[in-house]
Amino acid sequence: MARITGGLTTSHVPGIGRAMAAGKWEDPYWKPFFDAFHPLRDWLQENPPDVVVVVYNDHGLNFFLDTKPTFAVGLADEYHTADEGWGHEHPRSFAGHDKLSWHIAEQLVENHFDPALCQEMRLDHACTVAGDLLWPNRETWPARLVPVEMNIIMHPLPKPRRCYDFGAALGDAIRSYPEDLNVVIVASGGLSHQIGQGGYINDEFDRFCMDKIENDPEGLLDFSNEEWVRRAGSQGLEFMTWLVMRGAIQGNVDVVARKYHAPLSHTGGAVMLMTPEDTVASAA
Amino acid sequence: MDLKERAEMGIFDGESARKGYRLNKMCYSFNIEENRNEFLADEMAYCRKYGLNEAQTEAIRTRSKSDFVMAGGSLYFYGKFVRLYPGAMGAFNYGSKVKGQEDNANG
Repeated sequence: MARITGGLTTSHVPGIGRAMAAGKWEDPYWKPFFDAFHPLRDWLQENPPDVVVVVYNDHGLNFFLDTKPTFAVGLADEYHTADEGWGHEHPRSFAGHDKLSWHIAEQLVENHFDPALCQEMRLDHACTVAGDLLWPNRETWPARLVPVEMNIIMHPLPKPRRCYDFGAALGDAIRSYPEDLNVVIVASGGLSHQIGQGGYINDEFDRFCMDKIENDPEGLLDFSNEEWVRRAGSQGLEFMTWLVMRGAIQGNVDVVARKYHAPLSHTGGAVMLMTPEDTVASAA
Repeated sequence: MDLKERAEMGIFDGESARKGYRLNKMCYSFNIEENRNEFLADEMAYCRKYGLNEAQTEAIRTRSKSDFVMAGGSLYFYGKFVRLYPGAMGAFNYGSKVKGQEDNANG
């Protein structure tokens, strides 16, 4: 059976992608954030996943506001990047796991979640930056991709509890896939920020969220989206991707790595790696 | 929150989406390079092509974020718009501060 071996989280603002492209690994401004990924990369090397499920929000690349699904699952065997409006050297390609994707879609609908089904999906920077931080300086990644996209652009947005429950259904779907696969879930987004508006980084709330996501994710589920925006800015709602990841893992977790660094571009740079506490038991 | 406060907080909802559809659609078109070039060659003609109203056209002319948002624009699509101008990202993307701290903007 497939199993979820870990959950990883990162911020994804475009500035990170540009800094990586410019090779600013040692640049004093970026180094504390980039260095936070060393333990994640070491862990990935020791526990190489077959599949990476990236939970992220599209920023007007694959979806415009004409048709905006609340949740969307990519079902392709190959994905490509595209010009997001600021130039594009060449399309990069990423291998998908279409069979697992279809299984996930079927199981989600079976369990009363109804995502958009996408046999083609242009990959937004929110997806690619996350993978590139984990596997830097590569044209593509050493794991097959299942992209899970969610609406964080146009209200009404799914509420925290819905995102967590969606994650739980996603996790159950992955664990019920009959093939032996190691799967990691990457949440790309947040933490507190508001585009074009300095001063929206709320490090106290960010750290509170990082504590809660580890020990008490249920304690985050009764916020309204408006309350969340007041504390974390409108793009702070990208944290919903973290709730999806945490919902998928369920149970207690061991935190292998945790780093918070702010400001990073216009957000709080947050990196975490957690593993399900009962990984070994369930595999036995 | 009232509508103005929602807009200022960057909560892009049905009210904004209805009002700003054409403006956002124009900015979505900037994903394609030849559209970016066509816009930059004659910005006002491009606004007319997308049927922008007066307030939206003015927001494009002034590049003002708050005008853009009040005309129904989404911040995500504002990003595609201001990136057309060299140097604009400096003001747009950086300069964030952690709440309670003074002037540690960088980047």
